[in-house]
Amino acid sequence: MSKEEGTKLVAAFKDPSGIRANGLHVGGTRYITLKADDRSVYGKQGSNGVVTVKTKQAVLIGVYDQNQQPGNAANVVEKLADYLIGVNY
Amino acid sequence: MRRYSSTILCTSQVKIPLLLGGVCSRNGIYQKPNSESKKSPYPSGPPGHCVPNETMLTSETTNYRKAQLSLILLLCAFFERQQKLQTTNSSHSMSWQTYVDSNLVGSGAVRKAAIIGLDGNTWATTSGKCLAKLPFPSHQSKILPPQILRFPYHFCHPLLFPLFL
Repeated sequence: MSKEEGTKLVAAFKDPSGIRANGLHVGGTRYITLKADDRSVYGKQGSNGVVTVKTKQAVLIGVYDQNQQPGNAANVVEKLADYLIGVNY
Repeated sequence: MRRYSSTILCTSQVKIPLLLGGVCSRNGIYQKPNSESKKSPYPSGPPGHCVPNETMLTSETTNYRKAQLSLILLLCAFFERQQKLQTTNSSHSMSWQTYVDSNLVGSGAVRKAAIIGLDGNTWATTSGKCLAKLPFPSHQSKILPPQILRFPYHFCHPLLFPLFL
């Protein structure tokens, strides 16, 4: 996860137009944007995918592969995000 | 003013003059009053116990006792502060790595995970390459014994503290 990817991802929570057009780059892989709002951005590439959730001070990123359920991955990342938001992170 | 300076409280790591008759070992067993305390007008403590009996608790000894207590408490406060400083410095990066390793990847629902700051800097990733500057090596806390066994907590812990009185 390079710094450039990081800044683009953080900016995407404010303005998702960039990642909707060009896709979401995480760890050198390009994902098609499935969902993008001010809290979470989901991406998909084949049977792999990425779940990113913004908390108050950080962005959590989880990448799942073909052996894992996208729903479970989203659940886990969103739950941790809820907790961190709850403790002001 | 008579000073029973020969007495020493022996712990595994530190020796503090207790200023009482006899030598108090770590487990609180009265070991051996030396010749000076035998000559003293005050009776030494009952055998098998390091706490002096009531006749020995004169105002002088209680004053010494208070001084020792305040010294120990000061030491406790100092070391506790040091320990807190150390944990606040290292906990930032440590906890992010823990969230990645246990909460995200450890759940089995994601293969790789990362936490980045809102400035785009990576705080923790699955590979463990944390770009945030670590004041201490991340493996240090695993080597250290549990907090209760570390040196200053001998005195601070409410369960262990009575052993040193």
